[in-house]
Amino acid sequence: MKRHLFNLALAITAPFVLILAWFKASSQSTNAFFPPLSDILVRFADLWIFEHFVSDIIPSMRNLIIGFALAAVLGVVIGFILATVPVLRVLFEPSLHLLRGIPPVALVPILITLVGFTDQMRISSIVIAAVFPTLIATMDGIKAVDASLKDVCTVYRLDRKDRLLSVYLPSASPQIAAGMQVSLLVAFIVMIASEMMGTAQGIGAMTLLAQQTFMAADMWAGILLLGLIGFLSNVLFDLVKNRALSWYIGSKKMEKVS
Amino acid sequence: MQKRALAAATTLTLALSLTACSAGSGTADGEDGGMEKFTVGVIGIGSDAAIQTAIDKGYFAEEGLDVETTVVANPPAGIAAAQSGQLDVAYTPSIPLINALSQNIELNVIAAADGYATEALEGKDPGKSDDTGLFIRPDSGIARARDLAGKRIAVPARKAQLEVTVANMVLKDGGDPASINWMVLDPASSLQSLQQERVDAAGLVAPFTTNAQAEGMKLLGSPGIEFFEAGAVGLWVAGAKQIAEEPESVAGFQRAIYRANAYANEHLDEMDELASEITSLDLETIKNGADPYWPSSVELKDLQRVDSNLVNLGYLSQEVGLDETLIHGAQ
Repeated sequence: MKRHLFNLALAITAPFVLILAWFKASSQSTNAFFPPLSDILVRFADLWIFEHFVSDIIPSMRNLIIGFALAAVLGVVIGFILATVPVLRVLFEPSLHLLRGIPPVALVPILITLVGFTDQMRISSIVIAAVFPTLIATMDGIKAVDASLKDVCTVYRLDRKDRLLSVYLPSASPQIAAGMQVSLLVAFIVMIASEMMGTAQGIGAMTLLAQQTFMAADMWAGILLLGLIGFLSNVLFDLVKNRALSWYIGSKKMEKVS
Repeated sequence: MQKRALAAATTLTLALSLTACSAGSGTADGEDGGMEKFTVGVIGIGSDAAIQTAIDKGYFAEEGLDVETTVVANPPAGIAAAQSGQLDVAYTPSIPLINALSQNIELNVIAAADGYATEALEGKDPGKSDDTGLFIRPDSGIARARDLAGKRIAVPARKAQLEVTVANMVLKDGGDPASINWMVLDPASSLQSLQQERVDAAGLVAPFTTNAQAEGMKLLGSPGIEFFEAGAVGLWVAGAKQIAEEPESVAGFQRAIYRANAYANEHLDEMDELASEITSLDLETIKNGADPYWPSSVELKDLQRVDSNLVNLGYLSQEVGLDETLIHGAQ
């Protein structure tokens, strides 16, 4: 327990020490591309609290949340169907692996041609890219259901519906959650990339524009905000996951103890 | 959490080492016969034919320079590399240069890379001198620049040449450029979006201007020549530190480029062929586009006009204030 607390303290202080080091090291900087951190923080406050909050942060976050939610639902549903219907799996698995190998950013120009450059394009590119990690994790999770668990299902004569929804899906859920976490990361990356074309709106678009007009402090402020959002969304995801999978985490702990 | 800390540490180290690099990296002396290695950032456009000529004809070699060109993604990237010494010289149009100067990035203009001849504005067909064009659908109902207020216009990048020059057209014609909804699109998507009625107008650069005309789109105006009028638009720039460290190489580069510019203006057919090689476009498309022009000097007043226009249009809050020291070798 002591060790655990020590690690936690270390994890919390280390970033602050690094930020302090950055602050000190950059305070005398005259390099236009690496402005002092104090300047960056001033711009951060000016830009994001609250001038561009409604105009840029909200649209970006909305696209991220809708895109990720759609990708997670679609990923689980399609993955579940493919894992439980062998014919479909044989038919589609190879092409799935081909599709997920395409860098999502490369699809943005194609999506512009198909759906234009509205928020629809942004959300669809997030969905297309972020669906695969969840989909594949769901398929693998269901395929990996313990054989003894299957035997138990047979012994209890569970019908197909109960078997799939009450046994297979919960048993695959830790893996599905891991897949969703990767999906969240991908969704975040594509959210930024999708803002590089079309209306210049969103955190990614603002950051790119700042870079191209040599507003280095604004650019760093955008990068900081993106890092912060990425970090916080991951923390939030972990909280939800730990809650939803508390039975699983508990059982793992029990295993360790016994 | 620990992983994140590690990533942050790596990023920080990288950032610091980049700062360190920019502080004092010169160009290594070439080994081959006392030739100085000299790297130049280009953006791969047709007017690069002149610098290619200087390489091919040995103008640089005569100055003791072993010039190597690297294609950079866009002018801001080239400027960043030139400022930090990664490149000795980079290509940039005057607008990104003035944007950079307004942010205290120390740069000097070495030579003219492309531009418009003084007589171009009086010329019969601005479309033949301007390598940029503003296109609309023939049935769009837009008759003149001021009709574009409140419309969607596609440009390759925000706050860069096409946006600024189109905004200038609209303002001069009595419209309000602030009401324009700018869309960032690559040229190919831009033309397609115009046809699909997703945008109302598209600002395009050669050779896409030729494509737009071939697709039946209507040229509403030539924003480049209206804004710049005459003189150098594309410039070769270097970081101030770079120039201080190797004044002779920079002077040699300047002499060789102007020699090549003069040759290029006299041999347009040869340049078209080179441009076709550089851009991988067929020769006919190149010939159908605007006639390129390579100025023999950079005039301060041409850049000052751009500076004050940027303020008038609201892109800069105040003039950068350019003087002779900006242009290398001009006293």
